[in-house]
Amino acid sequence: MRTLDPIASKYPDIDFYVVSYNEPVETIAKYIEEEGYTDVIPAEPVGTMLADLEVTRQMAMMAVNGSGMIYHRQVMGSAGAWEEHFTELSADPVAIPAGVEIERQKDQRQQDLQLPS
Amino acid sequence: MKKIHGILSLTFAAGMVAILSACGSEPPPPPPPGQPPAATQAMAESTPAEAPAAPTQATAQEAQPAAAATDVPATEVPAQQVAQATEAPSAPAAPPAAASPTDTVAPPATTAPAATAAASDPPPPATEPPPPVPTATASAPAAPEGIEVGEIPPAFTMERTDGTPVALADLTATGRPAFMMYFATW
Repeated sequence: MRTLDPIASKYPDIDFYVVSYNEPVETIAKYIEEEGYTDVIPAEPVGTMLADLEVTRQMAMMAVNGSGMIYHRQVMGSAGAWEEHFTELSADPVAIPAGVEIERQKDQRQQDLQLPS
Repeated sequence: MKKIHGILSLTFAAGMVAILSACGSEPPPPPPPGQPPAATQAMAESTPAEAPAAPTQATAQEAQPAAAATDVPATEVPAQQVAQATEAPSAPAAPPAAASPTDTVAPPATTAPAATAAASDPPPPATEPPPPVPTATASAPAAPEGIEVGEIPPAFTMERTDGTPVALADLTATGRPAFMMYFATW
């Protein structure tokens, strides 16, 4: 979170949530306050959120674009390595992940070839 | 009887001198420092890769002692029989020493060119490097676990500390991207 907060301040168009994994959200909120972080939002999962998103380990990270599509996710690692994704999402909030876009174009081409002329 | 014994001893000694002179079996000079012993050179010469590099003169010189070595047992047999008959314990020790394999090998001077040729042989071609392992690029979507990148996750809801619920529908309604880190203070 020490690296995440400065990044969050650089991208005001993106909401940065810190979701408690296995403890009350108040604990995380207190930690954020003590450390002086200002640009991350503490939150608590409701219901089966973690199970629905298949988050099985802490320090899992996930980004969704403005249309709700998962743009990137990983477990562990530094959020600093995500800057390029934040840059892309900041420029285009509904951007589609590069690999997904390539696959979608392939599928579209395949469908075009199968269509009768 | 003593005369016969003496004659046989002289005959044996003369035969041994003849064998030694025929083989030219002088004790080999000690190898110079940095040069492998004769046995190592013999092994080096016997390798097929270095055989073509050895000069033909050396092979001829090697062939001659080999023939001499094959001749030695033929002359040794009667000598040993004589030695056994005369019961002379010190006499039979000389022929095996004269026919030892290290002595029949060409002297170090003739094997030196082969050794140098082997040393100057070009090293074997390096093995081909292993094929490059594909590495994930930074821009490639990573989905180590759970729902894959590019999918729409099932509806979820989280709650801020002030009690405000934040659902996936709320995020899509505003059109703002969101980043979620599932964190524990430990």
